[in-house]
Amino acid sequence: MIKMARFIAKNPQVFKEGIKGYLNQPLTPRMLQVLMQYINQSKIYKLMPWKFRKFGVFTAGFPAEIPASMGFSPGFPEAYAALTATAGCAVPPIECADSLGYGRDICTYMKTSIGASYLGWPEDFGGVREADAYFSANFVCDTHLKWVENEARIHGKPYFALDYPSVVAGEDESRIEEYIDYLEEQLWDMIKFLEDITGRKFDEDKFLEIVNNSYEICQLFRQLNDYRRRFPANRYFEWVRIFMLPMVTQWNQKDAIRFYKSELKKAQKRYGDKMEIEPGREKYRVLWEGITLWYNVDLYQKVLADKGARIVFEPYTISFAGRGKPQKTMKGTLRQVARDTLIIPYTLNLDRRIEYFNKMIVDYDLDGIIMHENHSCRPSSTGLLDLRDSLQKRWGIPVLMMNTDHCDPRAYADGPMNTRIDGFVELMEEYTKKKKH
Amino acid sequence: MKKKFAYYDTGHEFPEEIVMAAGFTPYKILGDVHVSTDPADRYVQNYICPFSRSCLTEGMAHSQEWAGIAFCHGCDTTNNQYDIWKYHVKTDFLYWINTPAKNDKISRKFHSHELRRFKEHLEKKYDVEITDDKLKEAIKKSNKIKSLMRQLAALRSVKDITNEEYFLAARKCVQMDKDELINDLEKTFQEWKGRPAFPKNMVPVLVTGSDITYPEAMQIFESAGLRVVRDDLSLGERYFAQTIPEGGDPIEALTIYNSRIPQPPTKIPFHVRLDYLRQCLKETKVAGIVLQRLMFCEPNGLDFPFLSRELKKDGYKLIVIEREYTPTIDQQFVSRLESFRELITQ
Repeated sequence: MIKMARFIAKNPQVFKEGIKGYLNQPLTPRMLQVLMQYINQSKIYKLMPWKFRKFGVFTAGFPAEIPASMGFSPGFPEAYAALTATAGCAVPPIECADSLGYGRDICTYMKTSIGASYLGWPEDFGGVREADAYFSANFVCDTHLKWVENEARIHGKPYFALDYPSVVAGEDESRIEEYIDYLEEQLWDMIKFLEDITGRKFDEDKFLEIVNNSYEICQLFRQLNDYRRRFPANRYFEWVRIFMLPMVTQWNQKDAIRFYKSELKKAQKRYGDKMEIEPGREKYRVLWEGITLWYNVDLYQKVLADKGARIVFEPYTISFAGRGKPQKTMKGTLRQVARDTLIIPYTLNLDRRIEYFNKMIVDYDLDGIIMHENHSCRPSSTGLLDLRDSLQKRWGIPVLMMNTDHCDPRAYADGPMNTRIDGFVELMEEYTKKKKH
Repeated sequence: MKKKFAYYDTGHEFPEEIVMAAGFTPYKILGDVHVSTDPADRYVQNYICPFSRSCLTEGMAHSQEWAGIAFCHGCDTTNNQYDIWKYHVKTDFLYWINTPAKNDKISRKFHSHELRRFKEHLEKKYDVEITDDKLKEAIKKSNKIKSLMRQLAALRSVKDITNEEYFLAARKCVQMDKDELINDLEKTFQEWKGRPAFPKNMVPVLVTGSDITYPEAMQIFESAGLRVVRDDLSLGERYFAQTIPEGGDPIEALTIYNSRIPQPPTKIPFHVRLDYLRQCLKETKVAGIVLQRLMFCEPNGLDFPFLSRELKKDGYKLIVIEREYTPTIDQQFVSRLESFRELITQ
């Protein structure tokens, strides 16, 4: 509270803008409560019961279930950075990180987090407080390794990194098994690391329980996401991108399960078991590839929506919902965790990415695709042009390449982008006509 | 003449000795700054590393001259471009070696596995037997080259050796037939030994950061009156600072060697790279440090704030500078380096 009060006193305008930014989101009161619970948990973790005594910082998608079973409450700087950008307050921290020597090409999730922490901003505005230990993995990008290692070094705290091999195009199942062998060894090593830093023996039962909860959260999220295959879809991207947070952050598994269960119940009640496509409110069904533009909810709920185009699927959100069931043995479960994190939709190689998109075009009855050429995320940008060519060759589907950034609004220009969106919508109009024939 | 086997490696991870033992000349793909990257820009966006686009352009134009191509896990950019090469570069053999980002017992075991797997695939593909004896012979040859390069590099701070000359010698190491290379380096050594002393009008500096892959980038330092007498670049000391162990299992020897080389920015932890730079600075007196970064190079962009802060704390004078991928001697770049020169010589 003191940190927040200090932040408001120093930055009244940013605070005002932030509140305005949050209020502009399509959030229900329950969603807002869920978000605040997550953020507040990381603020007061030290006052919570013994099992949450420790606070760990993790990069997105990291198998946080393992440290969590040793009492580490997970904090994800990317989630805080995303919320800061959502509130429209990411530019000052990004500029601060620039002044610290981070070049203009560096990931703006990282720069938002580093800048906000340096400025002493609270978690609601991107800052991350000192953790008891730091964890990162490079299956999304190498930035994750260096970012978190640096934070651990600054605070003089223990750090553990998971090194993921890259599954490149053309590699078969036997190759993936080799990679899983390597990852499994590292996961055992992490368990030893956790035992060393906590002075406690690893609790397998607790771990399996947490993995099972994780699996349940992901299952519920996927079931809910499946409703978006309907026409009309029940949820659009502007909503799901916030809705995914309890699943991504594993903030409080039991509450997350309760939350998703109640949402699923509502969906079941409203739509029944019917998944068939019916005429509805969205004229064009669009897939968004890449990270959302956190600062620009209006793009989804106004610019695109006004033209009848709605984002009904995005691999990014589902990428974190792939946790499998715990296996009979500890070894089997660790291998399952390794597999679930090694191959995710956001980082598929080109062969798998094309195959995945081909399936999604059919499953979600898509009329167009927007590919985010993200200045901040080169791993995701690489291969997009071949993906576009392949999909257009097979389906003739319109693809809009959107060259901008996920956190930095300065990379987005309304005028030229709106003109391109108009052209994209015209192409979708033609495409839908052809599809009908 | 032996056929070339090309490799794409943003650090110095590629096991050249395995390819040498298979009967090929290892050839590091370095692109060509004088050739437009238009062919690659069709598949890779222009905000992605221009060096990588130049390499793809070279691959698309010259792959038929090479027996095969292997990639090493490097930075995010090059890792993901493997797939693009698979789609657009014509070759009978495109191979991926997952070199680990960490340097501990588990990752070294994995790396060793990766090297053995690569060896097996080469044997199968080219119907050759890569025996331990052949590997040991290749290792000896490599060590001879590294030793010669260390002697040549040591002359930089005492003799009049231009930045470009040093760069060209380092580039030969990764592209030339190894037997010819040894003769060439021996001759160069004799010639450099007879050179005049280090010129008084030049200022010795250490250069770190993105790999310098074309001579014009080195000429810029020369134009500003700076002589690169130490570095940790892949076309530089990273290539020859360490010797490969000559006893025991040769694949294990290559794994150990790789774990000891000056660390590229794609690896963790940070301090290993810093330790090497500190060691260089202890060994050789320099007036300043240049941290240069090729535009869009994320790994160096992530290392620089930490490196520059620590080196400044040590009391060194340094400049952090971003350069473009162009053969033009950029006068703005030269001016900044000249100002730096003024600063460090006051």
